[in-house]
Amino acid sequence: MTLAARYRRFAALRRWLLAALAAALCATLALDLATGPSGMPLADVAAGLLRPAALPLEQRIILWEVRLPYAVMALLVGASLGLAGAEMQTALNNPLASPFTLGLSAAAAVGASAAVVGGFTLMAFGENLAVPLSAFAGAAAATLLIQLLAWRYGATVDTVVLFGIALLFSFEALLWLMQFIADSNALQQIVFWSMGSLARATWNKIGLVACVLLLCALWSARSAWLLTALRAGEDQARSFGIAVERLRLVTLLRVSLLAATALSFVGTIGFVGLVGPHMARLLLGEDHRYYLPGSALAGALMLSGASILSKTLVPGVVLPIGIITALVGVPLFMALVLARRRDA
Amino acid sequence: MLSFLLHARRWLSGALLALAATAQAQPAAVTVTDLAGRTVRVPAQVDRVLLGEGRLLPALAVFDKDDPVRRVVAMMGEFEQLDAPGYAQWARRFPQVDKVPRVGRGSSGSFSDEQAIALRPQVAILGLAGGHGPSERDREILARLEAAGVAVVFIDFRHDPLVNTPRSMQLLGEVLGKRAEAEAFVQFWRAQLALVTQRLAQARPEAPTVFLENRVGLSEGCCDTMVGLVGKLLDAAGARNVAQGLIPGEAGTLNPEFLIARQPRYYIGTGIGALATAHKTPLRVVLGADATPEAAQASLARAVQRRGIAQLEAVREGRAYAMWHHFYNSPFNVVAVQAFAKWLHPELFAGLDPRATLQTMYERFQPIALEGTYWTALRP
Amino acid sequence: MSAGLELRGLGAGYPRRPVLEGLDLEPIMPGALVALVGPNAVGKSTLLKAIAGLRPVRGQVLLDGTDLATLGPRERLRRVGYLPQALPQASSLVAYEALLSALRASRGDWSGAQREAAIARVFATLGLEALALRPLNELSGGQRQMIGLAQVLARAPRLLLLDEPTSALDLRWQLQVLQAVRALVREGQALALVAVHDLNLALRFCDHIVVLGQGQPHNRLLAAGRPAEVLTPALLRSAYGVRARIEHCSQGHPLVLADEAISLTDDTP
Repeated sequence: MTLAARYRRFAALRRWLLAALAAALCATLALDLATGPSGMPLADVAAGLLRPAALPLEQRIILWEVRLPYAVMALLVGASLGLAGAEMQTALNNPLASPFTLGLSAAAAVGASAAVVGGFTLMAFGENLAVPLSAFAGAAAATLLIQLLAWRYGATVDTVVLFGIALLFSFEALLWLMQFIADSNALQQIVFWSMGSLARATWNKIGLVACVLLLCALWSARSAWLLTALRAGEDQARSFGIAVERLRLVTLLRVSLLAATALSFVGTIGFVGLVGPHMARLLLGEDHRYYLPGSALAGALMLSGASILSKTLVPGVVLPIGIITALVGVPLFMALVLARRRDA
Repeated sequence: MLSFLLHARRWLSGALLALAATAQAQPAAVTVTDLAGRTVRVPAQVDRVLLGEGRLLPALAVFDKDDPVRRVVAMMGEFEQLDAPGYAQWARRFPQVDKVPRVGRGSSGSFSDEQAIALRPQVAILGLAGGHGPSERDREILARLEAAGVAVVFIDFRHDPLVNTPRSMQLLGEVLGKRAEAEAFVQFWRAQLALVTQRLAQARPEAPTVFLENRVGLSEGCCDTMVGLVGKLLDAAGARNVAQGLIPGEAGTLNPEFLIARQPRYYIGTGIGALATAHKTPLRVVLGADATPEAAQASLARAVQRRGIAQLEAVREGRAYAMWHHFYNSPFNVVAVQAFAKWLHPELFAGLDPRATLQTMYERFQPIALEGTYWTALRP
Repeated sequence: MSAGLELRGLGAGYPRRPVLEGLDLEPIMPGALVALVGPNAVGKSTLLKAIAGLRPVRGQVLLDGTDLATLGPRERLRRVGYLPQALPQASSLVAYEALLSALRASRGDWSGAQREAAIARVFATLGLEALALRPLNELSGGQRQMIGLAQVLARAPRLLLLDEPTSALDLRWQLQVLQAVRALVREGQALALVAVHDLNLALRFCDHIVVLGQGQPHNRLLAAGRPAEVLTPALLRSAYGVRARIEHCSQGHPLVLADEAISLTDDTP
């Protein structure tokens, strides 16, 4: 077989794996819709999706206003975090990079806490958007700081990662300050925000997250080849005419937008942005035409699975989803690391 | 002419009666304004209620003395967590309360709206932002409940107890169709409060300084305090809370040095200990449904030996007391006001008997007997 | 219009430390494989990067009569191919994908078929077909270096600038690479400027040699010309600070035999 034909078969396998991931995602979505403390039978779920009027009012509300928004939000947030994590790991050439590493989550938490402590209200589309907007502003501030510092002092990998870690610690300290001055109600809200929760999902918010995800997915698709070239080496990429520093800054900007949007609506959810890309890398390699969508799918799969677990682990109780992703994410990550070491 | 008029009157009143009868045959929904300022339409016949806090059961029992659990289809699970002996007393008398499905545990974040909706309550009775159940800030949850046809009604005993307790009981009376029971309670409650406030207004004694310690023994050291919650009950008894103006919000922590410098005249701590678990939490003050007066006093004596507290003049000179913490979220909070008044102004309120007040309230308004000890003093 | 590579008054270096200044190089004709030699830190990499346009440069770099500085980045990439000293990274990218991304970035005008053909050709030339679908993190350093070279050779640029392309390669592959580059350069009438440490390789394969040497206030061109003429013991002493002999092997090829490093205070000839 000619080399070109061998490669085409190789690439076709990648596409099949992507399709398999998508199929798995459909399965977890269906399972997510079918699980819940009210014990709705699967047949009713299916009927309710196709013809909402067929169900009694409570079941209809449970399906369309509780389970479906939770499940769809889990999908969208997981995909956003997976995509963001993949781009970050490439841009920073660091397999441990994630939206946490640049201090984005901590900054978002500070923003959210400020809104909770201050008791701000901002009504739009019939929702109180004060907390998500503040969270987003926090994450955006962190991004802006990094971009400024990088522009002024150079956007090498080391500099950006170090800035990010410095920001992470600074924002953590600010968060503790917020918690200190909060009264007990606000404190509880802040703590729960930090654990991540899908309970605040509404169709309007889902629309927003979906828009941002779509926008960033299309935007990142345009840079897919440049990012792939970066994986063979920074010097190599530069020699092909790629403006590496600019690529890095633009990618980080996109990552911030994705992660900030996702985090501001569901709170802090960790490990998806770290583990999703690793899963995708194991299955699909690092050609970013497959790796980026694969990461998004892997992230969505992780969070969808976590949503199911959060409802079924302890009967009658819905655990905060950030706890599940941490508990499951850590052993998963260890397994991935060990699998790679055994191969190499 | 006269006979015609007489007949007409009889015909008219008959017609009116008939109209009234038909009106009652189709009960109209009631529109109420709740403590969050929301206007809510409540069905006239309410048989299925969700309690946003399990501790609202005693308030509900004022209206359903024979079986307070009969209307409850769902409740939050913080009652048994936070006040185990109190809950045990209710469960002994009404074992079916154990079988009521719980839609969450001790915090507002654990509330499962899906389960709540599946249990099809007509009315959800929630408390204003307390942290132990869903609140008016959880807009998405409220929207879902309302979309499922649940009427969400907010009451409040904690944020503004003196104003909101009677309002809340009246609101419950309207919602449950038991206005007479509500009025009876509110009248008694107001009268008991007036015994304190009126005499204070007349005599205008100087307000002694008080350090109110919040949930003694919960955190390791010192000095958690409140200006809201129980602090508001304290204010009504003519006290000056040393933390006034220093704490943003309802509760916070004071610097122990400040206390020693300020030397408040009285020390009052709130008790969250239970006799059954006293050995596990030795620093808490034992008060509540299973507390004996001896155990309560002994635990207070132990609690005030902590560094920072033991050095206070108030403690050394025996002006130290403890109050049951859960009066902050109870319609029987007026009893706490009376007890405070008696400690702070003993000559003025020599004739006041808060224990007798509580006893009467239980006899008149509760289906269970008064058991346990709810306050204590270092030197009785 | 003159063909070949010519440097006029070239200066390059860092903002506070010019490494090279006033470098003039006579035109080197197409079809030539040029060795760039000199001691460590003399500026070989800097010179190559400067010609490639990756470092700011003073003076003129003329390729076939055109000053490279006047070309846009796309045009420049079409004509010039630079291989960095650093090896390609050991990522999960497979070799074929590494080449695809290189071509997509540097020759965006090519069609899929053109890319396929170019990749097939360069893999065949370098004998790398077996590595094509293996991820870079499974390859040895030498194999990755070959892939890096393939990335540059695939687009067959007019001027190749290779920075120590044989540093990680074993004996056979060193020969193979230089043979392949020389063949490419001769067939396509292209030019290659290759920085090497091994002077005997330079003698064996290169038609032309450029020797850089240290100096104050900046480094300079010591000599340029045919290797057999340029490499003398005197030059080697002043360039490298070694005492060396040039002797001919049994086949008649000249070889550099280094005897000892000269201490800086030693004056004996």
